[in-house]
Amino acid sequence: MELKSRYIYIVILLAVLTSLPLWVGGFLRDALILFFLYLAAAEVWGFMAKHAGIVSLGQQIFIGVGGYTTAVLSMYFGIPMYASVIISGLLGAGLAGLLSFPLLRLRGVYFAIGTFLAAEVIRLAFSGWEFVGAGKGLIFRDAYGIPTTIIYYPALALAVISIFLVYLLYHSKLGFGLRSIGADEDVACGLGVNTFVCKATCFILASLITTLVGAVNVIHHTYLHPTSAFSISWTVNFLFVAVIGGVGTIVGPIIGSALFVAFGYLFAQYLGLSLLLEGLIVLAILIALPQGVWSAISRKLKLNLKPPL
Amino acid sequence: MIGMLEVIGLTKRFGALTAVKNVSFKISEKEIVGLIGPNGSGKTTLFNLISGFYKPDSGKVMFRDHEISGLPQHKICKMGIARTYQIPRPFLEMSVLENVMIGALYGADESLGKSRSHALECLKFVGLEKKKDVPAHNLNVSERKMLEIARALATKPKLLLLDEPLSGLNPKEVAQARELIRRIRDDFGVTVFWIEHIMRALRGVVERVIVLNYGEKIAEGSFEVVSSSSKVIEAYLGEKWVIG
Amino acid sequence: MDMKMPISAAAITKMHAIIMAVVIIIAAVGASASYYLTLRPGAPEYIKIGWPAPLTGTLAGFAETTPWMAQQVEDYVNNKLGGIYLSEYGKKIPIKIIIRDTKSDPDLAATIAAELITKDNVDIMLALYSPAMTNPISAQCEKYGVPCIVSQTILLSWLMGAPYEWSYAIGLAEPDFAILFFDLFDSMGDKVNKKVAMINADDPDGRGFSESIKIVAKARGYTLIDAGLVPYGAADYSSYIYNWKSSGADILTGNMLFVDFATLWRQCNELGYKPKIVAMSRALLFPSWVEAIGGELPNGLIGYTWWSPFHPYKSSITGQTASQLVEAWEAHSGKQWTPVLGLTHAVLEVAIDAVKRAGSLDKTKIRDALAETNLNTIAGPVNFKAPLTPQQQARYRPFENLMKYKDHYVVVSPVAIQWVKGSKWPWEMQVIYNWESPEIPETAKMFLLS
Repeated sequence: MELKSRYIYIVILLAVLTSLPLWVGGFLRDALILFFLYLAAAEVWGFMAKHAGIVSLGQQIFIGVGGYTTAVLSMYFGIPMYASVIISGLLGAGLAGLLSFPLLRLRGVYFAIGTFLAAEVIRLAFSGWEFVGAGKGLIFRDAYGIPTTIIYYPALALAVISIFLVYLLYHSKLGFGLRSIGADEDVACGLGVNTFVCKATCFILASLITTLVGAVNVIHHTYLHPTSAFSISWTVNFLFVAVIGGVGTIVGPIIGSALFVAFGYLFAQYLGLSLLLEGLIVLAILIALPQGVWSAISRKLKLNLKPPL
Repeated sequence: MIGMLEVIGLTKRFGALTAVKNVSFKISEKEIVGLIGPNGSGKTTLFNLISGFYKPDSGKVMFRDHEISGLPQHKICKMGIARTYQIPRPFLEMSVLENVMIGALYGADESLGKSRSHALECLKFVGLEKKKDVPAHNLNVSERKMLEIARALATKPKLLLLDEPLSGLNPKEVAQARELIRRIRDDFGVTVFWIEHIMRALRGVVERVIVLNYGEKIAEGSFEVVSSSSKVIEAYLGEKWVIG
Repeated sequence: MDMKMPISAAAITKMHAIIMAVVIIIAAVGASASYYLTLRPGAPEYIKIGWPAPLTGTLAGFAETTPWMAQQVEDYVNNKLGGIYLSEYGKKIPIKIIIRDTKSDPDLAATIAAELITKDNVDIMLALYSPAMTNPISAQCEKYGVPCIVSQTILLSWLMGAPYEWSYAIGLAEPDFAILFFDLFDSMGDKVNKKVAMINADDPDGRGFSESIKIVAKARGYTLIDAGLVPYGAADYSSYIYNWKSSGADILTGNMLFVDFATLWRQCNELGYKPKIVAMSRALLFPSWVEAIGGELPNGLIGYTWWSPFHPYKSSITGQTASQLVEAWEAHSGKQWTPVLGLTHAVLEVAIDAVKRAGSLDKTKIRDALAETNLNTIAGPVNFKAPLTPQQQARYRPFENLMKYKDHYVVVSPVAIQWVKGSKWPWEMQVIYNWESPEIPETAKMFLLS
């Protein structure tokens, strides 16, 4: 019975969220799109980092690949935009699969460094690649006509899919394998877990979501530049969102993303100080609540939630 | 008797140190074999070679007539070799039941539902079923030892490698654990290869004992024969009490 | 047993309460926000000018004067003029310039531009300081249909996003720089030989400059001794320098980061390579960059500028001359002026002029007025309808976008300058060649380095 009524609330929540663009103003819609995109990417990043022990500092690879693929396919090859988004997702997943071979053989901090370096190499390649505009960037003119009332939905869908993916993954056989790898990779391997296949599957799924986030982001922002499309600041932001809220929980990034987007807008007015202020607040949160905001709330209210909530 | 494990001329070097030197032996199905030797004699290295964690420098490991040396650990586990660790290495954040389920899910390749009931059986067998929902980091040493055994059993092994399962246990627990090891063989038909530092703990349970010293096999035979061997006594000189 | 249940009954009710609370909060915030955002009764309180600028990050040097300039103009218009008269409302309305920090990040620039449009409801947008800023900002303006004035950018890069409906640029044309330099070299006659040493950074700017130099040098019979494209941060240029020295090139040119040029020029000096003319693109724009070369080495180096206190123009708002603007900035900040100052002021002139002529805050009307701009600004005349000069036509013909979208940009012509020891600041620029702008005085005669 408890389960049933829980689903009812989820349905109500989704109904409110899907109808939101019909009655909220333009600015809030913009903020919500950012909120959903960061949420979607941070959910999978947090799951990978906390449960599977895969701490990637290179997820910007997929933001950039998603953005560039979507823009190039629909502008230069005349492929419909929605199809370009889907193809970019598949391409991102494929790239993640390829990168798994060299990168996932590295562990812990070496994997993190490896992913970051891979992102730098790809950024340099795009900076010199005239076809995609090289260092001048790429303007995605075809996306000018797409209003935020439309972009809102793929962003919302990505966030919902990401949350469900994390939930299902956690409770799946693969999730068990990943959690054992995150805890002790050697022992897991000794118990029959094919650690490479498990980690690669997780990395590919997370990167698929991240690529789609990059694709939707470029339709929203209509401009690509190698230094920002492949910037480490993407992954740092996902990390912040996950960590502020509570890394490895599902609710945590929801709170984290809301705070992150709100901070971004609030502090942009304090000219020149915004970076500093944001950094200080995040630092303060992390010192006061090292487990993240959500973990603190759920402990205070004694919710006794079952992971990964 | 059917051959379970055959080790032929196995050698492993770490730099200048030869941790395992040209070791050969055989273990038959449903045997319980003890592996003893002073500290640093290469016992755990030998386990790591059999379970696939290390690759041998020379020699080979045959498991039920198939060569397994060089295969990755997870494949060897699926073929039927499970192990425990001298210092238990449970997945600390996961519950006791979940720990055991990993073995059932992957080692025995079971579905989620099947693995849950199978894992519960294993926990019952080692007497940990009351703690199934406790996070593994809340267990004490002896419980962790039992968890390791349950987790290894859940992979449905044909050969179980136990690395000092009795260390850290009190006398009462030692007696229970010895009984448990015997039952693993008698009830499940699992062959057991058992590292023990305290030689007397093996008495009355093992069929045979293999003795390592400085990476070399110095004796093999029944407990009585080995424990009175002058070579073995010499190797243990200074820590004579452990022979018992 | 109750313990078996994954979540206790108490937790379930709490979960319900929390979810309900979240739903109510979202609904309330959404409803009230949309109510306030759609509420726009009567005459507007302000004319809002949005200005996302790279106040921090790698482009911060360009935006150094932005907040000061905005404050100056806002104070002058609101306090001295009492606002801008809008005929639609029959009264003067004050301006409000809303600056936001883009942190030099193109993606954030897009986010902030969208926020200024959707949240602050700006009436007109300014997009300045390099393609990394101008392109994402004007892309958002196109998307939302907001008039946008683009400046201090490379037109060829910006026009990649063409056709534009809402954006108009006052920019720099890449093909100008190579021609300006070669016109200057030609004017030296027999005093220098026709051998040009060249080196460029391995980036889009360096590549672009290298391509245009190659074309012009060939057409005018110069021999290039090209070191090619070199990566940032090279520590040793000696092999190139020996090559240039042995070939006896009298001219050194290229397009590099100032730090790399500083290293290069120091090594030229150590190795005894003494060209008669050093004409560099990019590396010699800002006085602080020139000073960083160190010692007496900057003396006589040649670059270009698109604005200086010697430019004989006045602000259409404050009536300040170029040199008065420079004095005001230097008095306020204690820092030497940079060429960025002029266009940073001019965009505000163009924005206010367009709104004034539109007489309305209707975005289409402002955009139409912007397209009709014919204004003499502190950075020179701005008239999007004015045709290209014959020389410009000849130069821009190979570049389709420059020819096609003439109505959306004006070009600021560069002049050649030479750095010399100054009276107020360590190094000051003198205009040595006014090129296609005869109204700009040549303030000094060019000298050769040896």
